[in-house]
Amino acid sequence: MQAMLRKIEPYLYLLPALLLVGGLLLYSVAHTLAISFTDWDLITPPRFVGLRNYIDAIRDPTFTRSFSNTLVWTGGSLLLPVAGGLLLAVILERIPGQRILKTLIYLPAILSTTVVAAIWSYVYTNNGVLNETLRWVGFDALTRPWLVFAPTNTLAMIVAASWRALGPSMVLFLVGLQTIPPELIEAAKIDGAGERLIFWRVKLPLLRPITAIVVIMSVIGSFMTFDLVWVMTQGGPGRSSETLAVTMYRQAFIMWRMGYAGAVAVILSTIVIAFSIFYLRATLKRSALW
Amino acid sequence: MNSNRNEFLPRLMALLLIPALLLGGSIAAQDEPVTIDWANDAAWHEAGQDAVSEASLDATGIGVNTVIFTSTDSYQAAVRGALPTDDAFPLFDWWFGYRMKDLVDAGLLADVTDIWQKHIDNGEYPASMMGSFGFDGRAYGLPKMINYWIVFYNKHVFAEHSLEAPTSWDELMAVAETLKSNGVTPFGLDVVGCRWCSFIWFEEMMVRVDPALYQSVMTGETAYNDPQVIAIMEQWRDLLDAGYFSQPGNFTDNWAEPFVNGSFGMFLIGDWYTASLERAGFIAGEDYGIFVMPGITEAGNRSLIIEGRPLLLAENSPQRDVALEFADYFMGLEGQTVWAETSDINSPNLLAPEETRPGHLVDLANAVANGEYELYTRYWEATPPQIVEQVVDLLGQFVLDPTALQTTLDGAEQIAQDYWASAGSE
Repeated sequence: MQAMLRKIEPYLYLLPALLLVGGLLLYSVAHTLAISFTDWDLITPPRFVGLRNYIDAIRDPTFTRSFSNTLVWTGGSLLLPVAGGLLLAVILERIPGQRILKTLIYLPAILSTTVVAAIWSYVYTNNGVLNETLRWVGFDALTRPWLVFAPTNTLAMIVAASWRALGPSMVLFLVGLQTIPPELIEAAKIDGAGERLIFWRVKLPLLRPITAIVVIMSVIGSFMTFDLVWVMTQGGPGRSSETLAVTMYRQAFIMWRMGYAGAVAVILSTIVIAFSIFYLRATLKRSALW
Repeated sequence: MNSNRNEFLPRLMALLLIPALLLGGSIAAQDEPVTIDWANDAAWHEAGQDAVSEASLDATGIGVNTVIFTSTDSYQAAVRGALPTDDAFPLFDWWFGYRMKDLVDAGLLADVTDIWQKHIDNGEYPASMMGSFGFDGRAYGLPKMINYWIVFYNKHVFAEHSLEAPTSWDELMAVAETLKSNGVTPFGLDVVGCRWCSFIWFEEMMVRVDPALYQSVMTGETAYNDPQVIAIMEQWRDLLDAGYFSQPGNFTDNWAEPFVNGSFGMFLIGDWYTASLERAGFIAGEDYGIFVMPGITEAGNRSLIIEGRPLLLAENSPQRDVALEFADYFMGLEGQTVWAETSDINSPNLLAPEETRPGHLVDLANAVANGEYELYTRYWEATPPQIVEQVVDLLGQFVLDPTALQTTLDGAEQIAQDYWASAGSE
C-alpha cells in the first residue's frame, strides 16, 4: 500500500495542473471540434452538418483572402520582429549606451495592443504623423492613405505590431548572445575568423534554441493576430485586411455561425500545431530541447 | 409503542402544515417588492435604470437590478446562450428590427403587442414606431431609446461663409458647393475607422428619393441592382465625385474632432452623437445645429431614419409576467419621465415633458409627434444582418472607389438573393 502510494504521489501533485489543462484546454478543443461539424447560432439546438462548414470555408473567397493576409502577417513578423530583433541585439551588444537604447526599444512592449492600435491609427491618418513627416522631408510622392487600400493596410499594421514586438525578441536574442561562451568566440578569432564569419558560423548556430523560440512565438502570434486589426480597421475596408482570427471572431460573434467559426478555429489551430511540430523538429533535432 | 403513537399526530400535522406554510409564504412574497434583472452593455444607462427602478418600486412594487456587461460581444453571447433556458435575463437591451428576428423566430421573446397598443391608444407613441419592434403586426420589444438620424452642422463654419441650414435639396447642394469652393469639405464620412458607416448615405439617399423603394429592397422584394436603385446610387456617386465628402483615411472613428475644428461642415449620423460633441466641448445651439436631410423628392421630404434600442423580455424567464408588468410601467408617462430626466436620453414617449428633452431635439420630437415624418428603420436593422454585414463592406469599397457602382450593387444583390433563398428554404 505504502509502495503504491509512493508510486502515485508524483501524479497527485500533477493532478491540479492536469485538471486545469484538461478542463480548460482539452475540453475547449474537443467542444470546438464538435461544433465545427454543426450549424449552431447559440439559440437553437446545434444541427449536425458534417463537413459543410469546412467546405464552405475553403470555397469562401473571404476565407482565402484572410488566409493569405495571415500568411503576409507571418512573413512580416518573421522579417521585422525576428530578423529585426536579431539585428538590433547584435548591434546593441557592442555599442556604448545600450542600456538606454534597450529600454527605449522595449518600451512599446509594455503598452496594451489597443493602445498601440490607437496610436498607430493616428500615425496613419491622411494628415497623421507619417504623412506629415514624409511631406516635411520632401517625399510627398510616398504619402498615402495607409489603412485604406490592400495590401498597404496589412503591411502598415504589421509595422505597428512589430513596433511592439521588436523589444521582446531583441531582449531574447541579447540573452542568447550573452550565453555564448566567450572562449568559443576567442577560439574563432585566433583561427582568423572575422566578425561576419563569427556571426554566421558561431553565434547564429549557437542561438538556434533562442531563434526557435522567437520564431515559434512570432508565427503563433501572427496566426492569432486579432486585436490590433480589430481596433485599427476591423478587417476592412471591405474585409481587405481581415486575418483568420478576425474571420473566426466575425463568424462567431457577429454572424452567429458558431459551426463555421469552429471550422476556421480548427483549421487555424491545425496549421499552427503542424508548423510548430515541423519547425521544432527541423530546428532542434540535434539540440537538447527536443 | 405509546410514545410512537404520541409522536405520530404532531408529525402528521407538521407534514400537512409544511405545504400550507410554503404556500402562505409564496402568497406573502407576491405582496413584497420584487426585483428582477435588467441586463445591458450600456454602462451610461445605469443611473437612469436605477432611478426608474426606485420609481417603479414605489408605483408597482417591482424594481430592477441593472447588470452591466462592459463588452458588447460578450454581452450578446451571454444573453443568447441563456435565452433558451430558465436562466435568461427577464429584461435585456438589444438591437431592433431584423437584429432581433432570430430571437423572435426561435420563440424566445415575450409578445408585448398589448402593451404597445395600450400606449399608442394613449397617444404616447406613434403607431408607425411599433413596426420597427416586431414582425407581422406583433411587437416583441419596447423602445428604450429612439434616435433620429440627422445632419449636424458647424454653426461657426456656416456663419463664416454666410450659410443657413438648408430646407431643400437644392439649398443643401448650394451649401455644399459654397463650402467646397471655400476649401471646406462639405460632409464628413469615414469608412475606414468606422466599417459600418458606409451604409449611412446609402440608406439616406434611398429614403430621400423613394422610401417605399428602400423598404422593398430591405425585404428582398426589389433587387439592389434594380435600375431605380442604380439611379439613386448614381446621385450619391456624383456627390462623391464632386469632392463633397472627406477623403477616406482623413481621420479615425472619432468624428467630433475634425467637425469641431471645422475640417468639414456637416455630417450625418444618429442624434446620439450629441454626447460625443458635448464631450468635445461643442454646445448644441451655440456651436452646432441640426437639420433633417431635405428630400430629393416630395416623398423623401417626409422620411426620417430612426434607430431604436429595444428593451426585450425573455419568454423563458420564470419572471416573465413580472417583467411584463414592469415594462408597462416603463413605457408609460411616469416611467419615461423619470428615465428621460435621469439618463439624458430623448424619451420616445411623445407626451414626455418638453423640459426632459435635449433642447436642440425638441422641435424634431414635436414634429414627429405631429406626424410630420414617416419613420424608417435604419439599414443596420432594416434587413437581415446576414445581408447587412456583407453589404456594408461592399458599400465601403464603393466609397473608396465610386467607379465600382455596378459591381457593388451586383455583389449586394447576390448576397441578398443567397440569403432570401436560404431563408425561404428553411
